[in-house]
Amino acid sequence: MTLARVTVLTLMILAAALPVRAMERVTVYAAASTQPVIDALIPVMEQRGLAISAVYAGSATLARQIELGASADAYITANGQWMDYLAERDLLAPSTRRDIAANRLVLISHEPLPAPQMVFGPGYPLATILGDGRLALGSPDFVPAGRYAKEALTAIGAWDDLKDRLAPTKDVTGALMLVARGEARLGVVYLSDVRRTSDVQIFQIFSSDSHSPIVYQAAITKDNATDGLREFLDVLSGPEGQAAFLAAGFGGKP
Amino acid sequence: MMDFLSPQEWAALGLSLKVSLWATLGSLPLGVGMAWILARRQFFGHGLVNAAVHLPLVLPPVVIGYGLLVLLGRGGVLGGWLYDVFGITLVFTWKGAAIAAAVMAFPLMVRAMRLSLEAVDRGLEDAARTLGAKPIKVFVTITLPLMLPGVVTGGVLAFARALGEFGATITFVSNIPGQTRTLPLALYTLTQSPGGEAGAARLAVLAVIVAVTALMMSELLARRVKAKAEGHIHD
Repeated sequence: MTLARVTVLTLMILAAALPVRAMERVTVYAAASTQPVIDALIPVMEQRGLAISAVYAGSATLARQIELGASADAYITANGQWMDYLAERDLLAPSTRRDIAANRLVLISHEPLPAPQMVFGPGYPLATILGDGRLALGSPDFVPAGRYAKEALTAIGAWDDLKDRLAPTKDVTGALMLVARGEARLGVVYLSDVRRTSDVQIFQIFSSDSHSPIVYQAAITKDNATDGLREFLDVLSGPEGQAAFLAAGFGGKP
Repeated sequence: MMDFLSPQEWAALGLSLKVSLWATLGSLPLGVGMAWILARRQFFGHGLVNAAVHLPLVLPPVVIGYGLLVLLGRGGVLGGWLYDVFGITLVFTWKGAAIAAAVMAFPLMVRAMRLSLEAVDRGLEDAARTLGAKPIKVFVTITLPLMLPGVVTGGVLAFARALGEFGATITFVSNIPGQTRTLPLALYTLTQSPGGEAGAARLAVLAVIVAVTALMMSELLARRVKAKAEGHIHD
């Protein structure tokens, strides 16, 4: 090979590599329920020079991994408690934390169930409707959706009757799956989860004052507050992100 | 000493022992049978059966748990029948947890048993047969005693694997305190809660103690059985 050819080849390789090098690459740790939204926003951010690789899992698992040094540049959680946990340990970039979306809690069933002609609130005969079946929910011990579910069921006075007839799962998706397969008669999941399968029906929607507000938050982790990531967070809380959340069945940021 | 663990943690430990014990005892005869089929029988589909037995070893446990749910859930083919005919519910019960643990531990059990069965001197079996013993008598009086070290090892391996079972269990029977929340599930629950670290560490120590005790007992038992089996022949 002549020197000229080598030079040309080298230049071509460099030219091909250039746009890639200009692209900023970040890793985002996001609560599993936000997957449809983040997946939809990844191409949008790519056009703006930010290549996101997203890691989806439960808020708790992700927070623990970040605490133990996982290379996450941003964290998106369904539960402010875990954001507090990271903030207390000084693992977040200052003043990057923000609300990005909200959600509602719904009671789902596998088959359409006859609903009693009364308001879904205190005195509603949930135990009767459950019969000898079980109610699937994220484990109230640690899954945010399960915590909210416990609050909501307590608020309508049904928790004591139901607490021995639960099927607690390790994440909210597990509860969705059990109802979709018909193994659990009822389940409590987020409104946005219902869109993920055609095998469940919304039986009732919990009033939003029956549980703590379900607010999704995002923040950049310590020492990673680049312009690209700040822009990503702005997109999440801006019109494009809010439209994506609404399209996926979430509520807009509070 | 009793204060070392909370009542819930004691419950998780007791449940784990119960589930693992039943998983092991229940699958022992099946394990011996499967080891015998794989070691002694040549038939069309032998490789396929062998692969099927090993599936729980190579597949993600969650897949096995989901498979059990599809098969043995109340809406499942087998589970629906069990419920309709016998009123047995496996999903969300400790019995279901035992089945999940047994399935996950089965390949380890069969492997150990098969190895020791293959080491059995077939000349001894032939000798018994020429002396007029029926096949079942040959198996019970000659083959089984000779492969006993492998049966014990297989049983203990299965017990140890059952103690640690997590993925298939939580998928099939979920995480119900006092009913299906075994030691690994209790440990996982604690690691997922802020401030659960101390409890998780306690349960981890406990898991190590139980596992090491089980393995040491098995070593002892296996050595005894082996000595006895050898003495038996040399008599």
